[in-house]
Amino acid sequence: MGLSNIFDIATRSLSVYQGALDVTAQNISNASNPDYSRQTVVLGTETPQQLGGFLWGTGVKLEDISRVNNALTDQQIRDNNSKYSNYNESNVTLGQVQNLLNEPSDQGISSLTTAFLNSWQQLSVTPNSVSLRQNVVQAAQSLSDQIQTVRQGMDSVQTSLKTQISSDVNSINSDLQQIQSLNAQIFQLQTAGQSPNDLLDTRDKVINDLSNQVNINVNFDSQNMANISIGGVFAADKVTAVQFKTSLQNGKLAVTTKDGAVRLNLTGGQLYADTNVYNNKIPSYENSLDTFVNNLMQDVNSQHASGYTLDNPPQTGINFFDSYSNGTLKINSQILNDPNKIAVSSDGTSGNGDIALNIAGLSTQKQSDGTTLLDNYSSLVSQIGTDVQSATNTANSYNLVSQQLQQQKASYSGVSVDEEMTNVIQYQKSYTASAKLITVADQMLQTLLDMVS
Amino acid sequence: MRITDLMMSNNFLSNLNATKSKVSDLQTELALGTTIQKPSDSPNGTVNLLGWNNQIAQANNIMSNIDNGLAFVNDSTQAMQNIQDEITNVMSSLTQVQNAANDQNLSSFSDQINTALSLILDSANTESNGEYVFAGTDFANAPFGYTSDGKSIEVKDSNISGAQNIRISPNVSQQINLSGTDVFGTIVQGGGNIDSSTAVGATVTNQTNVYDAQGNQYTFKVNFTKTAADTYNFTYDVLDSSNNSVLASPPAAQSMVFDNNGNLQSVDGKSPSSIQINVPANNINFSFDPTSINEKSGASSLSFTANQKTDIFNTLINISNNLKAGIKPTADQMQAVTDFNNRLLNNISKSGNISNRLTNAKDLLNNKTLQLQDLVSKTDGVDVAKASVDLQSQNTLLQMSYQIASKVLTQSILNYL
Repeated sequence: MGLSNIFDIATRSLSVYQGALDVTAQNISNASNPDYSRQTVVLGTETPQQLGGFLWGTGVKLEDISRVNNALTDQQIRDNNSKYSNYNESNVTLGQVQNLLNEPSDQGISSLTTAFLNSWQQLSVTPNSVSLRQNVVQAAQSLSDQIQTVRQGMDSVQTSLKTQISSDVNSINSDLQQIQSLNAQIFQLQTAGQSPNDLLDTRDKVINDLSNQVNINVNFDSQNMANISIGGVFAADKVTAVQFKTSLQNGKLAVTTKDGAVRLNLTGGQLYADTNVYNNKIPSYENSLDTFVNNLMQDVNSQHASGYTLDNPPQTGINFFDSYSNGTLKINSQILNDPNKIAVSSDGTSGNGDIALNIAGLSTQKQSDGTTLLDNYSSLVSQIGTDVQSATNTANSYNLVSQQLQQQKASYSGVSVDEEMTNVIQYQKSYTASAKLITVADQMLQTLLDMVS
Repeated sequence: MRITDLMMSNNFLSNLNATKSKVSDLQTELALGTTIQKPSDSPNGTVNLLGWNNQIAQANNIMSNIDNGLAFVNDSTQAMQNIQDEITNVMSSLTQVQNAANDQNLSSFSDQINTALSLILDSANTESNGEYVFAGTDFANAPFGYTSDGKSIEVKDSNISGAQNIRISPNVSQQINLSGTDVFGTIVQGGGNIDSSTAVGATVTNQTNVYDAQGNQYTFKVNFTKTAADTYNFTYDVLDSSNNSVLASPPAAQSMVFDNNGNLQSVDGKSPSSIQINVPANNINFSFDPTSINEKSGASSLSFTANQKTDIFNTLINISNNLKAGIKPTADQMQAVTDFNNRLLNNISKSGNISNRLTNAKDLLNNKTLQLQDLVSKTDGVDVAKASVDLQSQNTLLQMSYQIASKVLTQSILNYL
């Protein structure tokens, strides 16, 4: 063995520890990056050389820069993302509907309906009072305004959701294109024998984003290519990224492939929450509200039309409400212009308030299904409240799971500055020692040269 | 387990958010004084709250109506008491008139009766909050007034028998007025039976005497023509002494239906009630109450009785006119005044009963409202003491979190290199 071997080993060592410090620097700089998976340097011993009956070591080598991740945790995070996003998004959108109701408060439909029916009660005591008739009209207008606010507010939320769903689908299409592109890049680098760790992190991040949007299934093949399917439909691999679109099918929004041939079976993610609220929840709420208002209008009109106005001569057969359509409950324009057209007398005399009493009694009158008018509205409020509460509780539950999984990931793949700084010290010492070795070898060589000269 | 910096900061932020969320909730509860701000806070609680709040609003509204009703009843009672005072004076005068020593002063007694009549008429037209208390439900005119010739008093409204009802509980209504017919009117009470085996097309008739304001006699004749099983067409006529109808036109037939028990079930599809008969040209005004007429097997035996011949106003006018002419009141006239007084006392008693019922209903509603408010408070009310202690506790935790974070999160091996 010659002195030159010492130079070789020391030089190689300097190079290896410089590389190790580079990796440590990359780890430290990404210490706060939640999507980053820490990298570790795998050091190995160089192949020894046989000489003079001995195997002589040839130093250290950098075998690999490995990316530390846990596929099982990543899979669990993706599954959980889809569930959490579903309930969290439901919580947000249904919360918007809930806020429209303004219940329980004095300005909610429940209180305003009671105020409206109470105004008839007051009128029944003094049926010829113009001011009490004005009160009835005013109470009806307040109720009508609130019904319109709630009903059109629901329409507005639905319209916003349609836009949101379209945006979600665009985002999904973009994610799928990115995944396909990243798959291709990763494949190229791997084929060239390189470790595409940062690209793998980027791909994981995009897949995680996608799992927030929609329920996905991810399979990694032997070449570590991510094959994505959404709702049972193939979506992306190394070569292809399928594009999706929204379309109306039987009055409901559906997500299909661009050609419309295949419909996604959505079960999770933000997109599922949005389509579910758009297609099912809001129409159901609107239907319940419409039923309540139609019943109210019919019951009031039925009584009112049998009464006599305060006109001379008294008129009969007049409806109190004109119509209810698209959330607008119209009061008879004749009554708006002249409150004396309110018909509360059952016999045409000005002091008879029997009809007003009957209308006031609608608050407690049982309908064919055994419930009162307001019971039906209360059921709607309860249904919305339960839906929001259920979504909130489930979202909170999945959020806790998500936090635990993220902690697991951070524990496994996250960067510890203490650990990295310890590595820095370790690598720095090795580097310094290697440099010193070159100095010693140089001195030894100089000693030999001095002997010759 | 490896503990990384990201874990430390995520853990800190997660716990901090949880504590802040609790602080925020407690602050909202304390600021608003309610635990349920939106339906999702407690869906069942919200439904209960909506129901209870509606019941409270309704009860408050009914109590307000009862107050108005009580004012109306009190005005009615006061008016009747005023009339009763005057009737007492009239009865006293009529007693004095019987004394021969007062024969020279009959004109003076006539003046006293005229004065009483004016006051009675004034009380009969008493208003409460713009409503004539004895006008039934017809507030178009004062219910009673002199005829154009000034010789008698007539009913000025088309119908003074209407009932004013108010709700005294969510499901119960109460009539608050005593109609002009109840207090002053002539009521022909129908009674007896119609033979249920009467052939379809056959007519059962009956008649009784009625009187105009001046006391002239007429015949009130009724016909029940059977049209189907348990169903009769009811018509009537008012005939003068020459047996000529005084009605401007024959009244439309009204369909009367009897139930299986023979009780009158409906008149023209509505619940049976008195039929007002008004002949202004002849100053005839009375009501016919058919509700006690039954349909039974056996010979028809209808019987009609009137509570008075002429009303108190015209009875007093006749007495006064007679006194002015030096004629003392007849026993019939004196009995009519006494009968009216007895009816009036009975009506004052009825009015008192209505007033008591309204007061009792209000007390019940008041108790119910208190119970409902208690339920609302238990469901939605904030336990301020507990919430304040919880808030203080959460604030302490929050401060501890900050302090620990400031000590731990900032530390690493770098501080010692």
